[in-house]
Amino acid sequence: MAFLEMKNLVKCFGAATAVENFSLEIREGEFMSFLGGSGCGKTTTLRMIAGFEQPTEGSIRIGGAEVSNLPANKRGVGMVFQNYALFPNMTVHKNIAFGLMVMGWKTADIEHRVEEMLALIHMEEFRERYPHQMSGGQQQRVALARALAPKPKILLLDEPLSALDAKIRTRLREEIRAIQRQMGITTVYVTHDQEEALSLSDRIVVMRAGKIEQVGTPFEIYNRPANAFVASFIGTLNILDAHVVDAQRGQLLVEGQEVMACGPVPSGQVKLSLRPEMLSLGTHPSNENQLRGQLSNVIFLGSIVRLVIGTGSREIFLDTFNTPKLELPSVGSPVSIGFPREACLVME
Amino acid sequence: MDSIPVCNGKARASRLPAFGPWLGLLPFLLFALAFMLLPCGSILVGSFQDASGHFTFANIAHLGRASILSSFLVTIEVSAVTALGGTVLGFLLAYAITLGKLPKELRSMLLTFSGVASNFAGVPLAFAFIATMGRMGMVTFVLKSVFGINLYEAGFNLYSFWGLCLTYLYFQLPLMVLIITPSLDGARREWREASESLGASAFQYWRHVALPILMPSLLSSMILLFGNAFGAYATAYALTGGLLNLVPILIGAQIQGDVLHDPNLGYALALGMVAVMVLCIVAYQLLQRRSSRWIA
Repeated sequence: MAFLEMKNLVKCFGAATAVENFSLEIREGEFMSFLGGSGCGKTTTLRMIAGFEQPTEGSIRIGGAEVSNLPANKRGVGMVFQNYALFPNMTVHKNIAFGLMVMGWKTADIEHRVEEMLALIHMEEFRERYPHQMSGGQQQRVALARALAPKPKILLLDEPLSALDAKIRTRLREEIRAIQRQMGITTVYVTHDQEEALSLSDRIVVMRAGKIEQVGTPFEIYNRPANAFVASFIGTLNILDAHVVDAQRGQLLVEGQEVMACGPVPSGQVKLSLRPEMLSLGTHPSNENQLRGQLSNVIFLGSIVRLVIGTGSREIFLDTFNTPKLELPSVGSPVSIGFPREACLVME
Repeated sequence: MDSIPVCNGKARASRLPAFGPWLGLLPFLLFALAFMLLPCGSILVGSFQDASGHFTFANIAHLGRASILSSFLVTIEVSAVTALGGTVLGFLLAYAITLGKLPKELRSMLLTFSGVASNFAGVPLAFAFIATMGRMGMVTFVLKSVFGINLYEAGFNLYSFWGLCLTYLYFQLPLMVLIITPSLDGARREWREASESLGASAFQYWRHVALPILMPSLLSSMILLFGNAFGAYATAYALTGGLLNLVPILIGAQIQGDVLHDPNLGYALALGMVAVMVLCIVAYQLLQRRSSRWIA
C-alpha cells in the first residue's frame, strides 16, 4: 500500500507549467529518487510534498491522510537542503534540538534524542561547534540529523550532495543510504546525478519538462529504458538510425549492415540503442551481430578503456575492462564490433 | 655557482600593482588627516586650555554642570528615540521590500528614494517640515480643514522634542532601510523553510532563528542611527533655534555666540561628543564582525 501518494499534481507559475499530471505512489520505507535535468520539475514536486509550494491541481496523501492544504509545519516531513540551511546562530546540539524544542519535547528527552542523532552521524565531539566551524560534509550530516531528530514520516532531500566535492559526495551518499535503511524512513531524493540515483534508490522517477518519463528500479531504468530520452539520460548510449526490414523477426539495417534484434520491433525508421559495455571487440561469443568500422580513438578511463569506432556516418563507443593483458588494435585499423541481439534496444 | 637573481621588466611590472591600491587611498588619508585627525587634535588641546592658552582642567570640569549634563541628556534622548523609531520602522519597510515579496519595481523605487531622503537634512529639511507640519503648514491645514483635526490644539508642536524627533525620522528611517536591506537579503529562505519543516511556527522562527541572526545587524544599525542623530546640527538649529538644549547647538553658541562665547568650553563639549561617537563606532564594529560571520 502506498505511504506517500501523489495524484494528478499540477503546478503552474504564471503561464509556465512546472509540473504536469504527476501521479506516483511510494511505499513505506522506500527510497525514491527524482532524476532529471534542470527545470524538469523535480524540486518543485519535492517542495509540494514539503508544503513549501501549493499544488495548482491534484492531491498529496501521506499515510492515507490528505495533506495538500496543510502548512509545512504540520506535515511531519523532514527536509535536507542543498546548501545545508543550518541555523548559523546555533551550535550543532541546538540545531538538532530545534525541531524537538518547538514541538514541546521535555528537556531530558531532547538531550537523549540529540545524543542518539549525534551518534548516528558519528559527530559526538562536534556538539558545541557552530556551522561556520565545520566543513560542508560535516554540516550536511548535521542537517540530516536535524531533519531526522523529530522522527518525521517522510525524509526529503533536495540535491543534498551537489555542493560537496566528489570524494565526500561518494562517502556521504553511502552514509545517507545506511542511515535510511537503519531508520526505515520513506525517503524522496532529488538529484540530477544519475550515478547518485542509480546507487541509492529502490526506485527512480525520471522526469522531463514537468512530466514522468519512467518509473522503475535502477536495473529497469538502465536496462529497459521506456524511451529514447531515458535511454540517453542514463549512462552512455550509442544511438543509431536503423531501418526495419522484418519487424516480426527484429531484422534491421544499420549503416548498410544487417543487425538482428529481439523481435517484434516497431516497423519503419527506428533508433537502435546500444550500451558501450554490451559491445565486444571482434566476434561476440553469441555470433549474432557484427558491425564493421575503423578504430578512431582510444580513451583511458581508469578501470575502463573506451574505444571510439567510426562506422560510416556515426561513431560508436565500446567499453572494455582495463586489464594488464588487454591488447588493442592500433588507431586507424579496421575492427569489427560484436554484440548479442539482447543488447539491441529498438525505439521509435 | 649561485645564480644571481635578475631584476627584469616583468618583475617590476608585477610590483607596481601591489603598490597601486595604496595610491588610491592617499586622497582619503589626506582628507582624514586634514578634516578629522587635525581638528580632533585641536579639540583635544583646546579642551585643556583657557582663553589665554594656559593648561587647565576647568573646561572638562564644566562638563559636570547641570545645564551641560542636561544638554547631553536631551541630545542622547533625541538620538535614542529617533534611532529606535528609525530602526523599527526602517526594518519593517526593508522587510516589506526584501522578504515581503513586494514587486521588484517597488523595491528599486523605495531604495532610490531612501538614498535621496537619507541625505536630505539641514535647513532644507527643517523648512520642508515647517511648510508641511508647521502651524501654518499644508498638512496641518488639510488635517484641520478637511478632517477637523487640529494638531497643535491636540498638543503637537513641531518646534518641540517630539517635533524634532519626527523631523529626524525623515532621514533616519531611509538610512535604516539602506543599511539593513543587505542583511535581510542575506537571510536565506532555506532557514525559514528548514524551521517550518521542523514544525516551527512563524513566531518561533522569528523568535529563535531570524531575530537572533539579524540582531547584531539591527543593533549596529541602531548605533549608526544614534550617531547620525547625535551629531546633527543644522536641522535642529534651523527648526528649533535655541529652544532645545542640544549639545551641537550649545557648541555652536560657545564658538560663535556673543553671550556664551567660550571656545575652550566648546572644545570640551566637542570632546565629550567625540567620546560618545567613539563608543558608538567601537560597538558598531564589534556587532558588524559578529553579523558578517552569520550573514554572508
